[in-house]
Amino acid sequence: MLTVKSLNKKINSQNILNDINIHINKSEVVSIIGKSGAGKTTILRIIDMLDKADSGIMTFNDKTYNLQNLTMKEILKIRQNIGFVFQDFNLFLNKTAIENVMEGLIVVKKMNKNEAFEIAKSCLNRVELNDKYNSYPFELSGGQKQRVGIARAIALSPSIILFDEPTSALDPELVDEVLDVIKNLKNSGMTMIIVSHELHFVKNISNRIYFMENGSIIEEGETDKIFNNPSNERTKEFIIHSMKNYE
Amino acid sequence: MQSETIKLIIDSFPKILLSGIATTIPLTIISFLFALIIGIIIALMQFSNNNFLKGIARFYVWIIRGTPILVQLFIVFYGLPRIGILIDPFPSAVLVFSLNEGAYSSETIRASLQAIPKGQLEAAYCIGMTFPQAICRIILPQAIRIAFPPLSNSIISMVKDTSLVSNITVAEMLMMTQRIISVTYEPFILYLEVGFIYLIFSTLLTFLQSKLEKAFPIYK
Repeated sequence: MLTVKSLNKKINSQNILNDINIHINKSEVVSIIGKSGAGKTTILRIIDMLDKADSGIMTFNDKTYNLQNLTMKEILKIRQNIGFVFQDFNLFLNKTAIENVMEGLIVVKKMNKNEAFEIAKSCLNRVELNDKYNSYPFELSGGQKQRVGIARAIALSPSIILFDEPTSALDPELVDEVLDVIKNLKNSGMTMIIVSHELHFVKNISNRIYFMENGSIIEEGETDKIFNNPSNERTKEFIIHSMKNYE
Repeated sequence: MQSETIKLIIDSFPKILLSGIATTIPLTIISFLFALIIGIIIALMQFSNNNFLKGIARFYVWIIRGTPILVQLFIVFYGLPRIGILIDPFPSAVLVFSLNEGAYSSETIRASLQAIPKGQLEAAYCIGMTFPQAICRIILPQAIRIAFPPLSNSIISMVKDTSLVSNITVAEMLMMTQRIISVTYEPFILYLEVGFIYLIFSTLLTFLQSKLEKAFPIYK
């Protein structure tokens, strides 16, 4: 489904990502964990073409792209098949919840308004926001905003959704409502890459885990192995320390 | 107040007002519309990642903002004919006011564009929008809402600045007033009168501004 090979990125001669290799199969949920500044978000941003890589190859939906030289047509095609859920929601502030979800359907998928409205409605219902169609982002709680963000991402029927710290900007009591939506997406077979500090959630939902430090992948493996029997000492320390903080 | 003075005010009022309606208002509206188009284009050039476009935009703003509008009017109306370009007074005024206000508006719009969180553009990209689609549907509507109050102030200033075009023989309100003064020798009364008419125009525009501001959708 999606493979990234030999991905490198520098900013001001500082290595941000070193030889990153990631693979995700269809309907798989893969999480990337690690300390802040490890480069987790940068990977997601490069996959969705928000940041440019210095080098790297990406195979997505059976097409291979050189990440250094992409045409605008290729970038748009990739973006149209990837959903992105931001840490700080990034809902369109000038649009209501339903308009946020309809926007891509009308502008990108060229649907008529009625068709887009029906799809947007079903997406908002799926994230249990049936009563918030006409609310502007400022009228929604953090959890509701994030659920609109997820509805906006799924409305375009992407092949994969990237979650960048989807619960980090939420009050603790609002976290579960977002995590429940992500769990439901997993149950429906959605392919997802999740960057999160919610290790309990990551443990429950992921098929595989990548552990990153200083721009490199230190360890990867099945969720059970990473959490119960990590081979790298740094992975072990990070997991023990992070899980303790949540208890 | 003497009856002659009252008669002078009553007689001159419609003449001055009419020249305002026939010249000052159209000059302001036409110039401002062009200025808005120029302002948006220049602001987008500065907002883009293209250094060449940014350079052109900055050069234009630097030239226009660094020179007095009266000098610009004289260059276009009195200077250009020397190189064979002859433009009538009213189009000259429209050209200069559009270019001048365009430079100032572009700075207002640029600042408004920069005030929009970066995530708005990224979110638009993430749903597959192109740069022009993201700008037209997501960024500009938000930026214009921010820019609206300062742009409204600009149009009010422009109404008053149009008095300068009397220097290039456009028969707007000030020129009409001066013509009446030249036969009545009553500068004090007549300049007060034209000032009052400018005040009426400005007040109406301020009222319109507050109404339009309320017409924008409420979001934070």
